[in-house]
Amino acid sequence: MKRRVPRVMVIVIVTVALLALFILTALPGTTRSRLGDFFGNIFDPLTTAFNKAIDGVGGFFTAVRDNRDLKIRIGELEDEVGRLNREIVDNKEKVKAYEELKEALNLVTRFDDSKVLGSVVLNESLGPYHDLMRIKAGRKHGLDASVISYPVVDRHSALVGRVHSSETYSSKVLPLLHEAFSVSARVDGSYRSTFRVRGDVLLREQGLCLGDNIPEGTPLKVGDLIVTSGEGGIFPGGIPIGEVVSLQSSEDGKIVTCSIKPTCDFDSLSYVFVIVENEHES
Amino acid sequence: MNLDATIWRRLAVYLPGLFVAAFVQTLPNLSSALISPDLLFLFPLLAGLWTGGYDGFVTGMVAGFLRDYMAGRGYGMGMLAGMFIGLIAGLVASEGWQQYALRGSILVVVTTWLDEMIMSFLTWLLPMGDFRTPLGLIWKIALSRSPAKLLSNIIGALVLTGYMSIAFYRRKSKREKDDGIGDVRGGESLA
Repeated sequence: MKRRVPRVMVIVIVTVALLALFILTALPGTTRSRLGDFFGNIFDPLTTAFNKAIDGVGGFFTAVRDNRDLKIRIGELEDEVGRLNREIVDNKEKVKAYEELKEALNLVTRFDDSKVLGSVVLNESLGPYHDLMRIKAGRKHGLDASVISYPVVDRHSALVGRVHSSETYSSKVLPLLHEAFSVSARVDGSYRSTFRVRGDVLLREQGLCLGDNIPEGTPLKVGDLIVTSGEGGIFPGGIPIGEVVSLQSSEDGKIVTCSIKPTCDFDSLSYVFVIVENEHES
Repeated sequence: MNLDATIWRRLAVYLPGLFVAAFVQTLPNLSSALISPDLLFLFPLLAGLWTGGYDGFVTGMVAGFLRDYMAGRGYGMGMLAGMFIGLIAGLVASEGWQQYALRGSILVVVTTWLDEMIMSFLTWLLPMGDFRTPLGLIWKIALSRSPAKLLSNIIGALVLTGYMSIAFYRRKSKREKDDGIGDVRGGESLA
């Protein structure tokens, strides 16, 4: 039987072409963006359809089982509706009072002046070098990461990462645990000193990130909540980053670094929010 | 060997297989729940082992592109890695289940380990931020991750072998039965 072996010249030409492609796309710019745009038009709808199909099939089987449970729950909820209606009347008064107070004190709540864009997580990182996440929000939705990066948070407003690059319908996200990620942070409730929180290859294996450049006298202890400081221009202040789980001190007792467990649960992350505009930091 | 496996049949096996592998790999929370097998890495390897020749080479490039597109820092390196993995698999492909199992398991172990080390090297060579982690540390982490990755990839390879044996299944003719020749594996011979 005739042996089919790829010819050496074909291999060499393809290798050179791929190396050229790699060099062209390693730098942020139009080549990577155009490639992503072109194939994104094909892959992103397919991925969405596949996920929907999976959900649909799963939904069908669970619907029958859930129907029985729902009937019982409906009875319970009817009672609860009555109770909640009474609470609504009470709360309306409280909301009115809060709005009046907010106006009087000129308070700004988190993301007040920001447009928050919800997005499905298309895929998580796949391993070393393939270590970015992809979300279903791109330039069509107003994200243009070639100009500025955008903060990404989860449904509890905890920090997930920032947009790395955007294509027509989807974008890649640099997660908080990635070694290239860094953000200015402070201890929640303290406005005295800020330090840096960044990803670390060693700590990432334990699902932690690193706090360093900690100024002397920073009130830091295990269990403290670390939030973004608002310095740096990308992240608004007050976004929860994580909780301090350990402190590393130098020989003279000064706190040098700390390990932080992210508030965001990366294991169950399926939906994120991109903060598109941030004209006003709280 | 199943020499009746035409290009159309191979396409009919590889295209849906590749896309399902890609979509399964993108299922939310799958990768974080456990170290899941890298199906897009394994697919060209097994395609090369099953049919030899250009099949592993081409599927490797497609699978590599999908990896680059989904989560890569750039395009090209995943494709190059996939291409060479498929190529090596095509070159060592041989007839018979015994040889398939032997060569396949060696390939899965060696290439999984190599892929992990090379990709880790690339993360060191092309850092995205201001921090350059020492290469020794990056490789140490890659090595510590290897046993779990290897185990999951072996399981993944078994699943894909099942898929390909069903997809390329063909009944033996009476002559083949009598002569004791023939193989359920698809594609064309490299032997």
